[in-house]
Amino acid sequence: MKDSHEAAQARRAEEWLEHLKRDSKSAAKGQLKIFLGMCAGVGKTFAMLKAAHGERALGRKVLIGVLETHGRAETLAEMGTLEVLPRRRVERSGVTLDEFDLDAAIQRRPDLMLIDELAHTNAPGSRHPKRYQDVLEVLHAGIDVYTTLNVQHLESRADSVTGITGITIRETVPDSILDEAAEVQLIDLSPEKLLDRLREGRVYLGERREAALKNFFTPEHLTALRELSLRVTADRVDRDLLHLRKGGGHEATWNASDRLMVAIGPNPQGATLIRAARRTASQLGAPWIVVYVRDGAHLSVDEEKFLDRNMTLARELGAEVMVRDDPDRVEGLIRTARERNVSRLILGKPEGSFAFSMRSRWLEQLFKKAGGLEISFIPTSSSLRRPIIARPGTWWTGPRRHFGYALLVSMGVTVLGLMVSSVLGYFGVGLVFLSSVLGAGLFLSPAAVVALSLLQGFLWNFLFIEPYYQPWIERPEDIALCVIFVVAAVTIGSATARLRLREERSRQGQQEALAQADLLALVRDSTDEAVLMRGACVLLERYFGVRSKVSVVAPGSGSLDLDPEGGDLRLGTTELAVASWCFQNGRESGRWTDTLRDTHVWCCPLMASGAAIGVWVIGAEGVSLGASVREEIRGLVSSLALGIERIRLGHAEQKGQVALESARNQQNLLNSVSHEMRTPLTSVIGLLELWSERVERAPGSLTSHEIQEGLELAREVDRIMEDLVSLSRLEAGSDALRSDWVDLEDGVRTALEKLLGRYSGYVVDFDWSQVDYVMVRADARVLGVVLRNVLENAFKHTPQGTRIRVTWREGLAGAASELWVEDSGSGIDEEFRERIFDRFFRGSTSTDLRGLGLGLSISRTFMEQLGGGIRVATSTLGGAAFVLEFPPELVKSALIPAAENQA
Amino acid sequence: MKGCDILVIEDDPGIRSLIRQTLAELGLQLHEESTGAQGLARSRDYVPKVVLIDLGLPDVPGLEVIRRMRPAFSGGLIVITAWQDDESKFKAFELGADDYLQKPFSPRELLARVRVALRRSGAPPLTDADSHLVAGHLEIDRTEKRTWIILKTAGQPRELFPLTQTEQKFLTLLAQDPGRLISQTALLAEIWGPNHADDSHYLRILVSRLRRKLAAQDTGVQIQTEAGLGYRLLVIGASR
Repeated sequence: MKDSHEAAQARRAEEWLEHLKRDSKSAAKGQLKIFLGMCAGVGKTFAMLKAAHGERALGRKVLIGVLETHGRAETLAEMGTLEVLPRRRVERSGVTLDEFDLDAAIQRRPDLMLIDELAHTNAPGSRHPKRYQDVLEVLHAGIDVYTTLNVQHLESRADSVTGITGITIRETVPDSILDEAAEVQLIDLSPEKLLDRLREGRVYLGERREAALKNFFTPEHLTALRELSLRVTADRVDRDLLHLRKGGGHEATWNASDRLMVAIGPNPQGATLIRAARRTASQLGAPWIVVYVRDGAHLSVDEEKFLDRNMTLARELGAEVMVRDDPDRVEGLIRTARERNVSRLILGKPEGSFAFSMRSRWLEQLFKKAGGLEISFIPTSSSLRRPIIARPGTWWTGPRRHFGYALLVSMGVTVLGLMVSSVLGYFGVGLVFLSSVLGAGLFLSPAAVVALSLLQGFLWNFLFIEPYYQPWIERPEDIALCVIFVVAAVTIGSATARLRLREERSRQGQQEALAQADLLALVRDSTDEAVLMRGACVLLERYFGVRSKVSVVAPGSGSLDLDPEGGDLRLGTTELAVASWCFQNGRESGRWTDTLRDTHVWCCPLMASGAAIGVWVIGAEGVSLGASVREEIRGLVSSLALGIERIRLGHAEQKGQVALESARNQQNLLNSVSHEMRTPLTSVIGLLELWSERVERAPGSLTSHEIQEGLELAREVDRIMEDLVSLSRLEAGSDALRSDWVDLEDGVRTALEKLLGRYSGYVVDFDWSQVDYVMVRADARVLGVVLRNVLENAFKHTPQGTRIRVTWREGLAGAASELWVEDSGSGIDEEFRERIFDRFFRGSTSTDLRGLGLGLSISRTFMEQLGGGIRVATSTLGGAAFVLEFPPELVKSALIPAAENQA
Repeated sequence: MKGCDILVIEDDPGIRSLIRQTLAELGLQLHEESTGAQGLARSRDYVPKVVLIDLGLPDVPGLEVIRRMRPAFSGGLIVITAWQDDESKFKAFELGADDYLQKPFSPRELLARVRVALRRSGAPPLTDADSHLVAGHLEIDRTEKRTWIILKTAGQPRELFPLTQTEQKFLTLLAQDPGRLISQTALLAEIWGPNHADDSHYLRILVSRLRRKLAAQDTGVQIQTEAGLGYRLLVIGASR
């Protein structure tokens, strides 16, 4: 009971965090608004332009990034005076294409950008293959975006639209783009009205209009599409509501125990399954996992492609993607489900129903082992009759060249058989053939081995068993012998091949696990970033055979410093650009990704605490890394990032520790010195004060003047002590100082009050009536010491009757503001103006030897630490002027306007 | 059981003697201890009104004594310290100290601090009925949220002392206990709310302006800054 309560609380806290993340994320990034329509011609672009005008009226900078008018007069008119970004011209095989200019768009930094037709496919060679990826980058740059989208282009709805209209949809955008959007506005129009508009030629012109009316724009299609778009919007509203409810602190609606897992294979049905699973997961608000169980099958080029596409899709739609190695697919699935606490397993509905097929056997096993796991089947497109989980046939047949090898083996062995048959007889030749089949089992795929067995069986009979060169056999014992040969060759040969494959696969899985373990060990033992990164590259080359290069950005610096020449991997300007894009956007780039894929490198960002700290550039020239292998490498990338972060944290901690220690030691030493000195001093001062008061009441025994003299001496010692402590704190650095806003007027007044008690007969001019307030950000106590020293310097070195003036001079336009302390004394010779700031320097003109020259040295150290300074000038009063310069960022001040001042 | 009004926990006999002589004029029971452990025990036995404690004690650190003493002790707690760093003062305040004296302190300062602490420990807490506070020549109406200046001139007894809302709040907080140190964290939280505990420049500007208003007329009070710690309201001419 209690446990479940705590779990519920923890869950709520997590949701809150997620919620905050969503909020802060949307604050830093630009906001996306999507104008969604059921099809072309409903007026999305028109509505978008209208909204943009509204934003501009509010004073925001609006820029049209790209917009298609399709020659529609209404749209053209609505564009009006909105500024349009020039297109980028791309020449491709003689055709000139006008494309959206992403770099110029980001450089222009408008508040809001209009980017029409989200589902557009960019010209080949663009940075991203799809326009929605451009939009994401624009958003990332902090620019708001308005865009338009037809419902048929949404990935999860593409299948339904094809079902409705019979038209294959090629340009799609992932559904996750809807989640990116801060707002989705449905532009709705009844089918009748749309058809009217179409007939009037307001949507398409000429022949296109006729074709459109016949094929796509039928009332039935439009009604179905309209329903689809309404449903998408309704789903979205549901989710917003849920989000709002969570934000409002109500009971969470999703059940934490729900976790979906969908099994996919290297086939086109995977995409349908993934989309279906996402829909279910988002309705339940549950996390979901996409798993591929690698059973040792060899994948064809097509299958690799499908698997890759499926995994990319899953990642885009927000799934957690996993690859599991297990020769037994069912076992692998069930184990993963158990480990990840999955409540529901989603599979593709198997096709066909013959009783002894491989499929029904694994289904049977699945049900037997599933236990309490809920299993759903989702029907997938029947035109592609392939099993959902890796097809058993693939690993069985292997690549086609294996059959070629089998043929070569057959030819060689047959020639050998012909040569030795005279010596060994036909029986011996049979044994030679059998051993050749067994040997082939060690290298070739099971199917090739079986084919070889059958072929050898036939050749043995044809060439070596009587009657020669006839396909039949005469003697019954020879028939038996031949049948035994074929059966033995097929079973033993294919078993050998199968065993070998399984062993190979598990070795590969082990290799990858070893790579991960080695890297983790490296991470654990490394204390130096460079060593760790070099080691990681060596590991990658050893286990995966790829060359690579890692670069990390030093904390505090913002740019990536990749050495193009060093190491095994050479990088050209394109590769460097790919790496730098990857670092800046914190996403993968280059080969096998959607960004700059026509390059020879694959770049993975090293992410630490949500930000990219570096890039792992992996050479992809001439190597082919399958989707599942890349998944393993991603694991290594995140381990490396973790390792680097760990090293940095360690360094920071150590550095902080050392600094803290030294500050603490110094502080401790001074505290004890201070304590030791001040304790007796307190007695002296206290008793002297008491005596002084008593003597005043009963004069005679002691003169008050004598006592005052002693008192002053004792106080001077205390002041020196305070100076020393301040100086040591300044030297210990910022750790020992406490920065806060200090009222400068208050500081000056306090110091003056104390000084006027000791120095009489001076004319002090401290008129700050034109200043409303002056605040300085500094350590209050040390600033107090500095002010006391600078002011006391004016009193100490000038005769009675001197005029002392303290004024504030506000710095204009970012210049330093200054506090001037001037006197009408004799001034300071030019040659001493710098030297007086040396520690323990005593002015030679001064006859007063009491003060050590510590005060001005402290003042200089302090002011320089603030980023300002202190200098000596000649005052208009005739004497010296000490000028304290405060940098503008440390000053908050306000002057009283002259008019108000007079009033 | 023998009780006492003031408990002094200080290891240096010179300082103890100074405190004893200074506080003699109050005519109160004074007890002295030289170690933290004994001081802690006495504070429980005697229930003093005010405790003076040195932070640099030989056995238990002064801060530790305060930490252990505070939950059971409701009287005034004044810290005596020779340390320059503000950290230990902050910590002492966090642990429940009311005021501090920096060595070397003058006997006048000591006397004033002890008087404030005694007044506080004896006085009942303010209730809504105590609608008027008087500090110097100022009369503060807590319910009406207005401040009057009491005039010495014949004819008019008082006139309105114009203050902004925040100035009024600030002055009211300080005038509840003239002479007592009010921490800037508490002031910021009371006036601007807990989210502004770090926005000390608001407070500085407020004080800077209020100080001018107080100095412009014969208000009889001034605001004293305790660098980095807070403020206290001083009544001019009152025995410090």
